[in-house]
Amino acid sequence: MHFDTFLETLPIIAKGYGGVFAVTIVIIFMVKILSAVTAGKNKKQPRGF
Amino acid sequence: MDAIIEMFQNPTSPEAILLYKQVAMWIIGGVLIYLAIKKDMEPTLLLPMGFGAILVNIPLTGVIGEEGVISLLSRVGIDTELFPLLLFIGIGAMIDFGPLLSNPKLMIFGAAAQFGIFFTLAAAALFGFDLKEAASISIIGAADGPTSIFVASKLLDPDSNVFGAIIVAAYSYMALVPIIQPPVIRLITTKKERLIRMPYVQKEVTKTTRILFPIVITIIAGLVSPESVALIGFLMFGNLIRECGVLDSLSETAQKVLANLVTLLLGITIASKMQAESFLTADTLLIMGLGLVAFIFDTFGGVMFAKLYNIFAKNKINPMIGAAGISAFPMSARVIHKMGLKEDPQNFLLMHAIGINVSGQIASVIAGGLILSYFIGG
Repeated sequence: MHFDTFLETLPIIAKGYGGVFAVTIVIIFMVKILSAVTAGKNKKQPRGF
Repeated sequence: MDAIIEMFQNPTSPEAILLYKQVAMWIIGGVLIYLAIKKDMEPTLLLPMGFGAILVNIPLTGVIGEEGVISLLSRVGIDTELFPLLLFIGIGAMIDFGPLLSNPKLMIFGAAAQFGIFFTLAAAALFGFDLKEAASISIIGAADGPTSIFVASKLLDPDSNVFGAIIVAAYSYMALVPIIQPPVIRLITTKKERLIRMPYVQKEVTKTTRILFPIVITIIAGLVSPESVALIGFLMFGNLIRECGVLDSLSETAQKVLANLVTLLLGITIASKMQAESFLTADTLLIMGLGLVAFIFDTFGGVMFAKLYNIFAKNKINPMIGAAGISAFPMSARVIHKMGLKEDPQNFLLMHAIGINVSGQIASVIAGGLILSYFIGG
């Protein structure tokens, strides 16, 4: 088992997996803003999941 | 012919052993062709790859080498990352982001399902691959052929022995999603969880949102991870062609002619990385195993995140849909939908699963870009 190389992957994993979540959250907010701006803020939408 | 006869006269010579390996590659090529035709497993890729594997392993031919046609296609299309990028235009034109845009928080499950990539990165390093090789192997977990080829091309030397195994693993396991995912999902969910119903409420998505989405995603991804711009940009360019409404013929061309043409060339060109001396190694078997690990833990990550979500959520979700975050579109969504119907014939999970499945496509490209940025961009 090559623990040295394994330890070197940890910052990649932290930045990579954390980065995917971070970017995704930003995209979610951008899409919500986009939808609100283009659809009209006062329009009520049925809520599902 | 004389050279071949000479090999049989000296059956333990290095040339003879190479010939045996080449014959073994003919058999592997035949198996890929069989799986493509008889089992309908990703035939658009496995059949050209299978035939190419036979082609490049016929001794003393000119298809490989400085002036070989397959080597030329490889230099032009794979070493430059051109083929996967062109294919992504077609894929982007095929994807309807509507179900995702109507419920954007589904994207978080697409992110969670990239867990397999990072788990496999650690596992590959533990098994002795260097960092770049481990990263290239881990991207099998992106469950997306073009992303796997793009990242591996950037990280590995063109002559690397692991490239061929990575691509074969990526495409083979994509075809095996209906076999890989269900047992994993059943293992980590309870019957009660699998029975959770999720009614789908159609929400309108404006045309403006559909048009702005690919542009905004490209800018965000580009700012965060410049190395992913080529991949995400070409994917979103294809999507913009689809959604703009004024380029129907280009959209159709991208979805059909372009995608088919590039797939045809890509399949046979990948075979340039399947020469016997570099493909038939213990590392290939290990990579195939790690590829399976990547897919299993992608499924695990998506489902477990959905279960975690349910701890805090008032409206519970069926945790099976988390597994749709793997980027194998649309196969994974269909698998989840079928599993849901099997548990409860009135539970239609398809639209939720599709929304998460397409978000997995975006998340896998972002993951690939972030991995590249660690090695290239810093």
